[in-house]
Order: sequence, then structure tokens, then C-alpha cells
Amino acid sequence: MDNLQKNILNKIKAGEISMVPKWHFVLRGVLWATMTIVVALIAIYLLSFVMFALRESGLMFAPLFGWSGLVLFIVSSPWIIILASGFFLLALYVLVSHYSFSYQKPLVYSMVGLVFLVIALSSFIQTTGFHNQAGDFANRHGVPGLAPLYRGVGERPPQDVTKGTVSELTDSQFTLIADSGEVYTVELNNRTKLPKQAELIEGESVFVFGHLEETTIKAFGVRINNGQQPRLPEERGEGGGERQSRPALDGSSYKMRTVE
Amino acid sequence: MTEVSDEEIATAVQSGNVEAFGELINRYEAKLKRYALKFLNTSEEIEDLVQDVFIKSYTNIQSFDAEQKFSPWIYRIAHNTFVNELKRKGRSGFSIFDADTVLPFIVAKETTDSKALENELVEEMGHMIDRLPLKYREAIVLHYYESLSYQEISEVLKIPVTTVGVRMTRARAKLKELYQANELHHG
Repeated sequence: MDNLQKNILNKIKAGEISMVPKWHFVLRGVLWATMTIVVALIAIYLLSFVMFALRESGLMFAPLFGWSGLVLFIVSSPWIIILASGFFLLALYVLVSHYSFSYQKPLVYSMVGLVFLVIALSSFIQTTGFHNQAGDFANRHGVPGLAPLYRGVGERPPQDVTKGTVSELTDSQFTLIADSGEVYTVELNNRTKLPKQAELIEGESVFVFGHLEETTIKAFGVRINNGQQPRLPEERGEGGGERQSRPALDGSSYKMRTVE
Repeated sequence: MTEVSDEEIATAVQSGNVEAFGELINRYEAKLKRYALKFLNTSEEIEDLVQDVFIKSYTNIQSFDAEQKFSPWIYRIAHNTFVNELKRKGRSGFSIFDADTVLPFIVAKETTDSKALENELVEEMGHMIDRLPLKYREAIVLHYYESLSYQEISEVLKIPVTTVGVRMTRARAKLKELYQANELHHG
């Protein structure tokens, strides 16, 4: 027995060195896995909320309308929440890197795989109506942090995007009854981009992209809000007004450019 | 008679057999001292550092999964101990970000024949290995001196297997350069 071996064994026998119990490592493993799952859920929740907010506000479609739309998208996106999701995504990567299935793959694979997975799950969640229910719940119970977050989506729409219902349609303009109840005139011109194979009909729920001056919006883009049936005043609990008939207008009367 | 495996001995230690840990020290002391010598490029404090590795191994032995191989586990502890020692001395050769770990690489697979041939070369080039950058030196030492596979080295260093392959290829190329320069110098 050499000195090093003798020295260590003596220390062990004298109780100077002792083993850390197995439960300590099991607990650490469980805590790590729990933290990874929690951080993953937060990242997915935040990212799906960003997608939900962008869809609900119509901002998601803004980049389709050229530079003006892109600038609008950049200026009005919920950057704090986007950055928070980025932070949690990064934290998730750090936590996942602890596992051999992650660190044994090149960073580009593990990182891209993780980002793809989180985006896919977030996209799925934002289509399920989860955020509508979460928003209703948060508002009803006044959940701190969440209630103002969800109220912000509905009550503080981005500038230059107006959501509402089409009414009184002509070749060069239409009247928009905004979700807020305001009535605006939307001016269309030959640079206004309408949805491909557009057939705007009265009563259609739309997002109008363009600067609002008093009661007129000079639209550079119009997008049909496919995800929502028009919400008329009585549906919003504001009373008054009868549900309008929805005459389909001939789409060929539009000479505007459509979104490719 | 078949020799008792490291994993079986480690399991015995986990069950409270202190003498079994003596056998693990017996098996790994020389290997870890050689690894430390090549890693740190100095013989100072090697004895203390290797003792530290064994103490950490005993303390954390319950975290060892007997379904896995023991050698990558103990070399991982040694690697961390030596990296910390380098950091303490302010001469760590590792950066937080290593570009080699980012992209996938296609590297030649390890083969028994080429390994036997290269073992002889590496033995001859022992003194030149000391001149390699730390990340290449460590891969060479773990593979040729400590007989770890690429997969096991990847577990020790917590890097992709393809990155181990890249480091090995670059280390061999660097050794070749050093060898040729040496030949030229000595006529």
C-alpha cells in the first residue's frame, strides 16, 4: 500500500472524509429536471403569448405590407416579452446542456432543435384558445401581472393598426366600425395592399394598417381577420345597433394590389 | 480468472466497502498522475491534486451510475480539478466559447489498426505533445495514454463526439508539423 492510498483510506476510516448520501444526488437531479421543465414552460408560455398578442393585434401581418408594415411591426412589437422569452430560451439551453443528449451534439444542432421545438409548441398553444381562456380567467380574478398583460392586448392596440368590422363598402373606401366602437372612414388607393383573392364583404372582421387622422385612415394594407367573426356592438355588451346583413361584394371591383 | 471490473469495485464502495476504494486508488493513481502531468505541464503539486481527485471521487461516489463506465467518470472529476487549478493559477487554457463545438464536422472514425500504429508514434513524440495547445493535448492524452474512446472523451470534456474527432485530427496534424520541424532542425 503506497502513501497516497494509505493516507486516503486512513482519512476515510477516521471519518475525515465521508460520502455524500445518494438521496442528495437524486434530489439534485430531480430539482434540475424540475427547473428545466419550469423554465421550458415559461419560455413556451411567453413565446406563445407573443404570437397570440401579434395575431390578436394584427401586427403579425404587418410585415406583409412592405416597408411601412415592417417598420410598424418593429416599432410596435412587445419587445420586453420577446426579450424575456429569449432569456428563458437561453436559460433553458443552459439547463438542457447538462444532459448528455444535448452536449454530445454540436451546439448548432442542439440549439436549433431546442428553438424549433419551443417555437412549434408555442405555435400550437396559441392556436388552441388557451390564451383567450387564460386572459378571461386573469381578468375575472384580477391575477396580478397576468391581468394587465392580457388587458394590454385588447385595450392598447398598436398605433396604425385598427381592428374592426367593414361597413358601407365602395371602390375607394369603406367605413370601419372599430372594436372600440369608433367609426372610421378607410381610404383605399392603388398602393393599398389587399389580401390575395380579396373579397371584402360588409360585416367582415379586418385589420386596417395605416395612419389615423381624425376619423380617416389612409390604409396601406387591409387584412381579413380569419380567426374571428365580427364582434358587433351588442356582442360587446355595448347595447344598441342591429346585426347588419353581410352582402357579398364582387371582388373584381377591386383594382388594388393584393398581397403576394 | 476474470478481473473484477472498475464498475463492480465502485458498486462495492457505494455499499460501504472502504477497502475496495483502495483498489480503485491502486488502479488509477499512476494514470491520474500521468494525466495531471501532461495536462498541467508541471510536476508541482501533482501528488496533492491527485489526492484531491480521489477524495472528491469518494465523496461523490454515490452519484456514479454503475450502468456506465467508471473511467470517464473519474477522469471528469480529474479534468474539473485540473481546470480549477489552472484557473487558480490564472493560466486556464480553456475559453467559455469554443467554435469547434458549434458546427457538425465529418471526422475519420477511430480504428484499432491506426490506433496501434499511432500509439507508437505518440510514444516517440511524447515530448512534442507537451508543446500542443491544451485542448488538443488533453484529447491526445486521454485517447492514446489513457485509452479512452472518442465517446468517453466526449463525456469527460462534455463536448460533442465530432468535436473530439476534430481536436484529434488537428492535434495529429500539429504533431506532424512539429515532428517535421524537429527533423529539419536536427538535419
